[in-house]
Amino acid sequence: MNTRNAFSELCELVIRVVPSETPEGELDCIVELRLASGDVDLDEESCEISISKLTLYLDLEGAIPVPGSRLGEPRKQQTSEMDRVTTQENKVATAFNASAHANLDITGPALGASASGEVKAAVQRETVLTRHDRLVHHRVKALPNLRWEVREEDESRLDGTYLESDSLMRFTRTERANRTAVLARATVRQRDVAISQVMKDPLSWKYFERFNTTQRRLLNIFIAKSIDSAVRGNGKFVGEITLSSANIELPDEE
Amino acid sequence: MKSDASLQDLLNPEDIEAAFKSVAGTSGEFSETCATLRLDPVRDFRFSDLRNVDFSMADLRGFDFRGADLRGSYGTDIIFDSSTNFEGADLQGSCFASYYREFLLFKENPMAARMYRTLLEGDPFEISGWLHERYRNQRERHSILKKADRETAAILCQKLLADDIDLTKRTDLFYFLRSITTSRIELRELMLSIFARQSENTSLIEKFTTIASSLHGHDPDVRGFIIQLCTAKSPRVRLSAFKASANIGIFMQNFEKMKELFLCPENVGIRKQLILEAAISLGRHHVASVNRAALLSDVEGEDVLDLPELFEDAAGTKISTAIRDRLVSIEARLNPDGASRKKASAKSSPVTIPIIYERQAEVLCSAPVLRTIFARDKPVQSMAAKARIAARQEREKKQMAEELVRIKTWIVRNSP
Repeated sequence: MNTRNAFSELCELVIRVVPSETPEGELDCIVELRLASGDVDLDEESCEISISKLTLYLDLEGAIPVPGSRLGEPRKQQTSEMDRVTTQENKVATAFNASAHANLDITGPALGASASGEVKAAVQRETVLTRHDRLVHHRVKALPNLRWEVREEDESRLDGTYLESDSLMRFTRTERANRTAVLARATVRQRDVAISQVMKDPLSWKYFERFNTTQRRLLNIFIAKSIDSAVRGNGKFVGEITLSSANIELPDEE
Repeated sequence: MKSDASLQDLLNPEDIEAAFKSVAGTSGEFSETCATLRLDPVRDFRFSDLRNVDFSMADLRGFDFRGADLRGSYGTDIIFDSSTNFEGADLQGSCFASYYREFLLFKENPMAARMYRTLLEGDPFEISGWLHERYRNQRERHSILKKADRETAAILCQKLLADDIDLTKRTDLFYFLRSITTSRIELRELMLSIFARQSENTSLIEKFTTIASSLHGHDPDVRGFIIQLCTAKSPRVRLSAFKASANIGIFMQNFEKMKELFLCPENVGIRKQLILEAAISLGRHHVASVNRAALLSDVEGEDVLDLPELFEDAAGTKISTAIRDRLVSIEARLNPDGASRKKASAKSSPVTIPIIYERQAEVLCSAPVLRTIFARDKPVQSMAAKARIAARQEREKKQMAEELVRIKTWIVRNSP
């Protein structure tokens, strides 16, 4: 097993492979994932670096995943339920118009009267469809192609143990494979790295306060790039940082 | 197992401190800060957090913002085109959202270009008819445009608004501003886009402030945008925005803030222009009361008194003296013998400082924006000045009526 946690304070990723209890021949990929924030002390101030969303990638070599065994994969129901409420409203409007007129001319009075009536009736039908959805937030949620997204419901920073002796998925060895290996990677996009300033004293607060939003955002990119460069050494920054990686090569089957 | 250094060990705090110091020395503009931090436009902005960033004056051609969070970003004089990559970026409420919707529409819908050409080149009255049919739910007759679905029509109309079109089309589009933007956020995005890409197009923004403020004066988004335009780079746009803000009551509602904005040094030209225009409309004596040389016409901008200089003793004395000197020289020209006799009497000008102040007050009462400030700061003087203007107008009206009667009488008497 080879595990590399680039930043000990931020992320700890451990993977193990154990035989599954049932059924026979299947293996469990057990993952431990612990996340926290870390500080970097500068001259007069301090930066706190934390993560709000992380993606876990798994690569299987010489193995295939067992359908329906992935963690955090709520299956959508084939059917959805809706309540239908039908209300019927009858509207009957009545109107009655009446008029009378009188004419007078030199030959004699001429009187006349007229009246008219009208009854209107209308039926209005209204249907209201009410759909009930139960929203469940999975802190570790399966995405397509053996990826898992780790995030809090309110996108706040990740802090704590998210996986511990949890089977991320089950898999079976492919027949006649040269080797069987599991590779895991925990990566974070730079937009999900939060860099906040920790106030040591009032003077340091003033130091940070003088930056506008544009400057602060660009400094964050600079710091994220520095973190990536510290991990990777050479190579170009592409906006994503690999915090931890682990791989296990399984011994041949007897 | 290999692990694992701490952040403190891996990062070089000195590099970060140096970056902080160098950024602190910049003006805060996007391009300058990027250059200081040596950020690579092709790679470093992917998946970045650029919420509420001000991109003013930035040339973003070739920037790769894929997957970035650009919500609420804004700015003026921004250059971006198809070489700027916004794939998968979150653009909600940003100055790039309208553009990217357009970009995707033209890329994915082969009919879009034809429809847009029809809108752009079509007869203004034909297009006006289509707009009324479309947004008043009437049966559409236009053979091409009726095929545009709601979203397509909205995007095309938004694009048209910023194009070089005649006043009929523009007025119609502004009239249907709410209909061609399907939500408040889309209206905001359209306005931010116009501001970002068309800030040099003074005529368009000027028309926006005038037409949109009169048609949508109660719309909070339009009002917010007009306040934003009061800080625009172009003085013409600022003048138009200040006038609109006074007309629809924004100025009075945010009086202290708006007054401070209006009185900032960069608006001195606007203030002088308003003062001079109002004085010209009132007459030559008023013009003489608002310039240091007491000229009656052809006043240079720098001679016009600024708002804080009106009612100042020094300026008042100077104007009064200049008027007296002019009267003396006229008298000397007309009556050379009596010049020495008149000199003594002309020591006191017939146009005294209180008269000059009265005329200045009347000018302020007649000038857009300035009348709002004057009425709030000096209500008694403002009321008195308004009353004088009204009385004078009444007098002039009466004199004109009398004159008319005299002419009519003369014609009747002299007719054969």
